[in-house]
Amino acid sequence: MKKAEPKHKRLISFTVNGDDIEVEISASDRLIDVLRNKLRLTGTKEGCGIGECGACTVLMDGAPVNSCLVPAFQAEGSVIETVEGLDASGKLHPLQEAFVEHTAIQCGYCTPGMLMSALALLREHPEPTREEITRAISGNLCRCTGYHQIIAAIEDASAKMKTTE
Amino acid sequence: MTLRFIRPETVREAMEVLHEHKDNSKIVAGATDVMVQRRSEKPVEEKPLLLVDITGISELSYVNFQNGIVRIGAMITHRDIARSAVIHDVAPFFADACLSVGSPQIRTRGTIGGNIVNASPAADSLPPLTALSARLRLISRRGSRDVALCDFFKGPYKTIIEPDEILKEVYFRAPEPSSRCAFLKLGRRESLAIARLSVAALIDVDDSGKISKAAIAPGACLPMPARIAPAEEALVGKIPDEEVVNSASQEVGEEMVRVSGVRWSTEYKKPVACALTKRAIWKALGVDVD
Ligand SMILES: Cc1cc2nc3c(=O)[nH]c(=O)nc-3n(C[C@H](O)[C@H](O)[C@H](O)COP(=O)(O)OP(=O)(O)OC[C@H]3O[C@@H](n4cnc5c(N)ncnc54)[C@H](O)[C@@H]3O)c2cc1C
Ligand code: FES
Ligand code: FES
Repeated sequence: MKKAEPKHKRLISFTVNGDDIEVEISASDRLIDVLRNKLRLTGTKEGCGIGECGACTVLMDGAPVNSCLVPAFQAEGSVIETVEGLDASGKLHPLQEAFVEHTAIQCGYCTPGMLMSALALLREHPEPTREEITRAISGNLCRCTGYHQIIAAIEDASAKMKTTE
Repeated sequence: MTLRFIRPETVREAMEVLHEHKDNSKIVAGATDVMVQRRSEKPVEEKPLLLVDITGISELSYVNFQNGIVRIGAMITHRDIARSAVIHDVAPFFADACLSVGSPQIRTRGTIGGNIVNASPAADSLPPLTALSARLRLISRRGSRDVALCDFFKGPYKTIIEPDEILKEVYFRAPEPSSRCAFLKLGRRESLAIARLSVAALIDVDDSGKISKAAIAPGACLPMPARIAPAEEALVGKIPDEEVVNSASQEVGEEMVRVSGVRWSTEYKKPVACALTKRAIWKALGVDVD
């Protein structure tokens, strides 16, 4: 095995929404910088930049992470999913439809992160309890809706996804 | 550009790198503390710094339970602990504490090693680990050493770890199957520090109904994690009733004032510490009080 060398720039490869990506990153880049500025996946939003608001939530190997806190070099070899992957088929994901139907979106800034947290939840618990929903989105702040519409939308999406299975 | 990174894949390789660069390197695990700290640093006149990313070292991710000892590799995350069948079985209050950390996103990345080495007085894994009398194994090219968790800390955000050392694991003896435990926490993450308070209680009751063992460790109200001996002494040998539990709880408040001194927040914190301890002890004893 070859020995690792200190680097300040390096090509890293990982998967984003199913595509294999190779991109040059520097030691100070964060995952969110790579997604938004290098890959032009601007659906992922930056709010606080310190792990408090969840606007930047993406899935890394299936689990929700704050992309503002992940150094880009840690993404090497990982599987990243962003909000752009949800309607990749050209059709809105049931979660996205439910968010629209329930007016779970006002300014929309929290929505991409909220959707990704909800997606991780529904994959693991297709029929979550209200408590599981609340816990799953506890790292996502919404300054507009008051959360009720968001919780209702996730419940509804869960029901719809079950009947279309 | 003075910031560089390296991703060793083995502990051995990481120890070599840290040995070679011990004057200007920093270990990065889940990065949830490191990234926030780096943001608040001034970017001007940044010293050369080598980030040693240990997330690629799979040999640091394990939870083992053998011969009565639970060993947890430093790269195990809060999410892993909250989901570990072994931890739920032998020390459920430790799983509860890790489940109370930050948010799902923070628990995905944040590691037990980072939580310990960062040495925040409010680190949530520390009260249960303190109550469990956990120990740490530190390794470097120079060799390895084991220290008791409570001897690891020198003060808030200060530990005895050397720049070339890696925390390999935290380990503890599984409590008696008859023992009971509880972890309670008040306050939202990152809200005013005065609202942050937690208590871990580990209690064993013998056949006669007397408390045979007690470990009480509060969090976020002492500069470093510690068990409160006077509170434990107030419990051991007694049949738990309201008076016994109240007097033990009172000791936690007293100790907080003794160690931290009287501050503007004391008036609020002391009764809250007492009340939270009381609830934690009763919860460990299987009684829910509000
Ligand atoms: C929004 C937010 C909310 C949070 N909420 C909580 C909370 O409720 N409770 C809580 O306890 N914490 C909380 N934290 C703090 C943090 O998430 C935890 O302390 C976490 O466990 C740190 O682990 P890490 O792997 O991310 O550490 P890192 O940030 O990677 O490292 C932290 C420190 O430990 C050192 N280090 C890490 N691993 C090792 C090792 N194996 N050997 C030697 N040194 C090492 C690093 O050099 C660094 O100094 C929060 C953080 C954020 C951003
Ligand atoms: S921008 Fe990442 S958590 Fe707020
Ligand atoms: S819709 Fe505006 S923050 Fe949630």
